[in-house]
Amino acid sequence: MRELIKSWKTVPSLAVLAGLFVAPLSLLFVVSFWSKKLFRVVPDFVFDGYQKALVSYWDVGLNTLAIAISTGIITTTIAFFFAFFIRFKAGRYGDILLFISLVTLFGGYLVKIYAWKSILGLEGILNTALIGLGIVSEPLGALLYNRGSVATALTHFLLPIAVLPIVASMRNIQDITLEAGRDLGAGPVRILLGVVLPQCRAGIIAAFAFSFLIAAGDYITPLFLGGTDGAMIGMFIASQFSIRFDWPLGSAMAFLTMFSCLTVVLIARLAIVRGRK
Amino acid sequence: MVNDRGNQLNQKDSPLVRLRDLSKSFGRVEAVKSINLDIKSRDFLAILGPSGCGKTTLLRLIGGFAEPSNGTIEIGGNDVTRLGPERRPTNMVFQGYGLFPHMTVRENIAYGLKIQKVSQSEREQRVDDVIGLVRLEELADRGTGELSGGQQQRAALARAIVMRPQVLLLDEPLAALDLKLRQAMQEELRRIHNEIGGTFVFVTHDQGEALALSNRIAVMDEGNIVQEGGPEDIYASPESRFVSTFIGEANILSGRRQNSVVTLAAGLDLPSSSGPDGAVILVIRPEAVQILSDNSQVDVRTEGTIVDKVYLGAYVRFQIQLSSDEFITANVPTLNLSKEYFSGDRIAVGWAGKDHRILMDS
Ligand SMILES: Nc1ncnc2c1ncn2[C@@H]1O[C@H](COP(=O)(O)OP(=O)(O)O)[C@@H](O)[C@H]1O
Ligand SMILES: [Mg+2]
Repeated sequence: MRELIKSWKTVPSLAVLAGLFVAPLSLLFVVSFWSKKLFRVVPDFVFDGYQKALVSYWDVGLNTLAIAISTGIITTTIAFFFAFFIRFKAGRYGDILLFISLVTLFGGYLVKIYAWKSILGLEGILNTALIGLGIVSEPLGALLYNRGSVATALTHFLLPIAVLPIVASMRNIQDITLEAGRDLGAGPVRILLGVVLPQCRAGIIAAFAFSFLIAAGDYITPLFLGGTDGAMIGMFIASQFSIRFDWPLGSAMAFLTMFSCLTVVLIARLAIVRGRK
Repeated sequence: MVNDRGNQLNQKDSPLVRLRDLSKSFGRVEAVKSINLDIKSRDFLAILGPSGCGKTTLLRLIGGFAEPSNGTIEIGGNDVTRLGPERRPTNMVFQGYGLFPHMTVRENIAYGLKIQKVSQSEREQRVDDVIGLVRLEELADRGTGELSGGQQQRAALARAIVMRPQVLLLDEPLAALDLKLRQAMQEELRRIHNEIGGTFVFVTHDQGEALALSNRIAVMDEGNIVQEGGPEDIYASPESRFVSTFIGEANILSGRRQNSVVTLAAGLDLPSSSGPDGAVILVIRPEAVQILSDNSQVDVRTEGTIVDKVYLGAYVRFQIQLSSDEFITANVPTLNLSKEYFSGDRIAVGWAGKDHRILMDS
């Protein structure tokens, strides 16, 4: 009887989960097998969507993974050092620093995109400075509209999201384990990689998963900063739903992207856990 | 212990560790105040003092975990004052153990040797040796999270002694253990010190532990070392009220010295060897106080009333009120009691003059 009441209590949260997560996904999954007839979409069971997605968008898909993986790795690496500083070096200023980095997270996504546009653009701050210093004579066009500019802006935006789980898992590390490491002769690099990192693997995995997944799903940043080189799959999925009304193709692309991303996260997780010497 | 690292040239008698005018402040708190201390090779030194007196800070200074505000530290004839812990011939057993949770017991113990690039065969040999020494054979391949407090303690000890440090530092190594385990570990520590013969410096607030384990004791109070010596010296000849009451039990009677005569508030005149005039205290251990039958001859004799009596098996503990309204405790061996005494009895008490100490009242 108790058990029954207990399990009843989970019903609301299960309902929320079903409503927000399972239902739309299932709907999308079903639609991905429908077929598109000229101006309308009809229920069906065909693989046209998947075929079209793989044939026409494989290059954008790979580009997306490349940008998202590098964004994830760079973001997680910077976040690790930043979190280390907050947790072990900043003393009582650590919390203030963390707070500031969280506030900048909510400092606006578009603001950051425009900021990078004005830094990297033809008449941007960087080019002006380079010309002013006499390092180049012509403004560099290659700074903007490529994978690098997208990854840079995404890293800037995602950094606080990646710092948070790493700081959280570093809070559980006892300070004396670092002192014990030094006592046994370990230098700073050994301490960082051999004592600190293995103790915050969970946070690092979470940080990579967050930053990679958000980067892979983003379609605004590549739209503004990506040009053709930096194009990402999210832009094309969005347009299947909004402009082209090819829902089966959009759904199939979404599922393929999701599947690839989960594979990457699982591999990353395996690599980090295996990294255990 | 074989000292792999360090200077073999220094003479036999010169101290292994030499602290000179060592001090450490945290902001306005002076945790350690100008300490001078010599530690000889093979010493088992206890740094003993109440909580907050600066013991951990002193140990961390020796280990290199904190930089002194002033003064110098020499180990084996080398000035190590500015060196970090990774470059000192010391190893520390931390109060909270500080075992690496992501490694097994064996990996924890091998960690320092790996960094030193000790060859694999020697490493395995040395790790196995210390695992045997601390009796963790059965648990060597477990994670540290699966160990009890006492086992973690022993793993931390093994991880430090496998490095064969010139000086092994232990911060309240037994404080977290329950009484029985603590006594067992005390014996283990003594045995290990005998077997490997190194120099141990350990911090404790437990005077019983300090007396039981060490061959030298440095008593700390408010950042200073107030007395240093062998356990017997410290117990028999405390040099201050603090030391006499902190180590063992002591009766303190107040008095004044004038013209080489000490007059106690309890109505006694004692001839006193030289000393400045002024307020003094007389320190006498409870086990030195006797209850006197009429004809017994002692150097110091006075009268009092028994206010409390507790039978403790091997001895009986009396609380006696003196004419000054001061109380004195006497632990009288049960076998020495010639008759039965009761609360309220008027009795004569006394002791041999060599058993008390007269100190300036600070
Ligand atoms: N890192 C620190 N920052 C500020 N004050 C400290 C620090 N470490 C110790 N203290 C202060 O120094 C004094 C001595 O501390 P400690 O050496 O830990 O004493 P013990 O080990 O004898 O209990 C205490 O008053 C303590 O509050
Ligand atoms: Mg302490």
